[in-house]
Amino acid sequence: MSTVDMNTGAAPTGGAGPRRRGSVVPPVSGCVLLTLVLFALFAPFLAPHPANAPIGVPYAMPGDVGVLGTDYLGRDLLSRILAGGRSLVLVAAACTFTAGLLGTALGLMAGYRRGLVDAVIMRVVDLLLILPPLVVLLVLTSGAERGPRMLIPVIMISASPYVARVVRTATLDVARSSYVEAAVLRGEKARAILVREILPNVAGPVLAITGLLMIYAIFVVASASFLGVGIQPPAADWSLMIKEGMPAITLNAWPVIFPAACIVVLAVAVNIFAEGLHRRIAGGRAGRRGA
Amino acid sequence: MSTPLVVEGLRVADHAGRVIVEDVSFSIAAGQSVGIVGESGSGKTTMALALLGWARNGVRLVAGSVQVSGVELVGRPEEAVRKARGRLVSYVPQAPAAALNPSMRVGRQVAETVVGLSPDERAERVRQTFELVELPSDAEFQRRYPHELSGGQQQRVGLAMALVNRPRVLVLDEPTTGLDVITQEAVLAEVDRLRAELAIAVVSISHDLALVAKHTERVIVMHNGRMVEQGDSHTVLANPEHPYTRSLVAAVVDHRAAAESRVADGTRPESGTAARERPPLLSVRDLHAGHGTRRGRVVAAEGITFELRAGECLAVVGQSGSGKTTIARSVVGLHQPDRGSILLDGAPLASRADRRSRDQLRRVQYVFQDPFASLNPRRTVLDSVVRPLGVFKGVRGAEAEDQARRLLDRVRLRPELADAFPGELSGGECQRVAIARALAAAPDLLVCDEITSALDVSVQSSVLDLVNELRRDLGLALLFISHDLGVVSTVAEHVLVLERGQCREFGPVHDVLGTPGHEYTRRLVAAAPSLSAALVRAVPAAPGPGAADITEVLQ
Repeated sequence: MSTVDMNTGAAPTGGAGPRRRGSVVPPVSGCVLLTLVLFALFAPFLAPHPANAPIGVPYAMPGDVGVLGTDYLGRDLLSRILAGGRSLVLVAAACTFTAGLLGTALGLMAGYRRGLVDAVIMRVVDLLLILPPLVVLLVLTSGAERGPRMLIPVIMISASPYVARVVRTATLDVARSSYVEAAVLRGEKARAILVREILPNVAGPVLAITGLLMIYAIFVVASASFLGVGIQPPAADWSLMIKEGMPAITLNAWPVIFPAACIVVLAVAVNIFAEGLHRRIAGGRAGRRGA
Repeated sequence: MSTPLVVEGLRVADHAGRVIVEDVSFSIAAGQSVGIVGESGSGKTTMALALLGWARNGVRLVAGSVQVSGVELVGRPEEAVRKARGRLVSYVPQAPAAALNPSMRVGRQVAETVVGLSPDERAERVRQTFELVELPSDAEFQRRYPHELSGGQQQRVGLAMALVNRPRVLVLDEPTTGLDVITQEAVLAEVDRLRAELAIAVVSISHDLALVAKHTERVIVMHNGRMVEQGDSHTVLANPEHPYTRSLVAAVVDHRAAAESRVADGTRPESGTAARERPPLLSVRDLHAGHGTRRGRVVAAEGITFELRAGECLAVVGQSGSGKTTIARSVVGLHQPDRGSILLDGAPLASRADRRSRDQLRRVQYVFQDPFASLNPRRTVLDSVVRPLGVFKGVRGAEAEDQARRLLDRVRLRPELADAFPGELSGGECQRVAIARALAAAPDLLVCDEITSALDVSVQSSVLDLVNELRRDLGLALLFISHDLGVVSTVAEHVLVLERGQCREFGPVHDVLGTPGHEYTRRLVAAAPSLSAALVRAVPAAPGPGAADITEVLQ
């Protein structure tokens, strides 16, 4: 996993707050990510055509009709690409955020309280870990409504155990620190200790795992939509577009390639950005052990 | 026989061009022992590693030469240098526990480092080496894992690994920092014996001048990467010439010297019987405490009873594992005692901190051992001091910042550091912030747990001065946990000697340390490094084949 960074390259000079010579990758990926997110949110307004109205023959090649051609109903591919990121990014972000929140809370509680609380939380977390999210989705949606409203709770529950495990381990470590004991000796409430003393010091691992989580969420949302239990047609959505383009992939691959490429770029940008963020935070903290 | 180690014009710099070690030259004869002293950041460890032709990541040996038995180690290809390491020159790192592989049995670990012997010879060599460092050499012991050994045994395994190839030069990097005084003395005596027996040259890196005076013949004083003084250990440390060496020597707190000077000028801090009649601020009665482990309960305190009055300082001394810290943690409420009572001004304190009242918490403040770990790395210095002001006194906003800045000034921290993060501070500065944070609560009792053990000597003495001054000005009572008798003799009036959780001796510091009544105290006092005593004592002779050419090399 690319996001694991053990801070081994401690600055050779000792000294205070050494700044690692920053790679250009995180800023660039940050820009890519920001552009993509802004794009996903606002691009529908830039679309030359309505996303759901046919503008010509189906499966037109790029340049023939519209800039990127048309899909199986003759709708403008460019307009659909521009519109199709919004649902994926929003749903994945919502899943990541809620899963991160729930997992962090569980991990902090388990790691700080230890004992029975820890045992109970972690056993529940272990149970959740074995639930395959797509199967759960398929089962749930067979009876209930389909769509993104179902996706968010399922992904939140299936992803939060990963966060909880990482946060718990980091918390166990931090909770033994003298500064946490100092807070206990001030008579601070558990919530104040968790929020003020522990949370800022486990933020690095949380961010690292959140990057992976976002990719996981993108993957599950896309898979669910592809399987027909996620985002529903006729919405313009990258994962849905892949599904819609599949039957005719030998005739015209572009309706599959463009949305697939968009998903890949999004996932890679998210990962690199999260890793950069994590390095920056971990690097700032590693600055203290000099020679 | 060629000289084991010759260093000439050695210069080490990092890739940014900052020079870490500059123009160091010296040589050592076989069987001779050289101490390298200096504060952290003076380039000691970098130089020790350079003696093995090695430099940490990002650091390079820029110029000069290091010759071990005539083999040049600087500027040679890594392959060639590696052949010399372990065979001609070997290294014993600072923390033995961290240097041993925790998942490998110690016998195999030592055997792995043997070069070029048949399996039978190798096993024999390992056995001999274990005997050499006075470890049990039987198969059962060799099959143990590092965590099954004591700290002293771990350090001996480290020594065995370094000696198994019978090198000509042994480099020891702060070899006894993690060990308590009695074990430390035993390990160093061991090194002295091996040096004589095997006629190896020993380079010891240390910040402890007393140890250097006692166990080395020559000393090199490093400051900012340069050698500022070198010569015979006793001469240099008894009559330091360079101002830096003088300041180092002056900063040493020496339990023997301190006891003598107190008696001499009659300034014994305790104020006679009047003080005895005041009611005690803290009284601990029949305290029993322990730690549950897999093998049963380890006793850390057994029937400990003492009293502490306002303005007094009581020191608790003993080896590591004697229960000092557990007693301190019980007093502040971080460790739950099994039995016994702790009273503050006659009122019993709950055994857990979260059951004590705000005011009780405020009156007893704790200063932690590791200055780096005691401050939240994510909060600024000012934040850390403002927080207790808010919690204990309800002071907030600009008023709290103002008070916090005054407190930081009180502990003599540079004002511009108020907005710094702990990672940007030195150990001594962190410890000052921790003291300021404790003072913010306006406590009556300060519990100090080994507050100077992580600090350099000169920093240590300035922190002790601060503690003494605060005690005088604010009338604080102090419960002072330390393993360092020198430190204890400069701050405390009374001392409690602890061995395996039991109180062995209790009384005024100069009585107990000057004329120890209990056998254990005597051992502790005898083993405690004392610069003045080491300088008085005769030079430990280093017989052996190389002894004759010492004088020649000294030229």
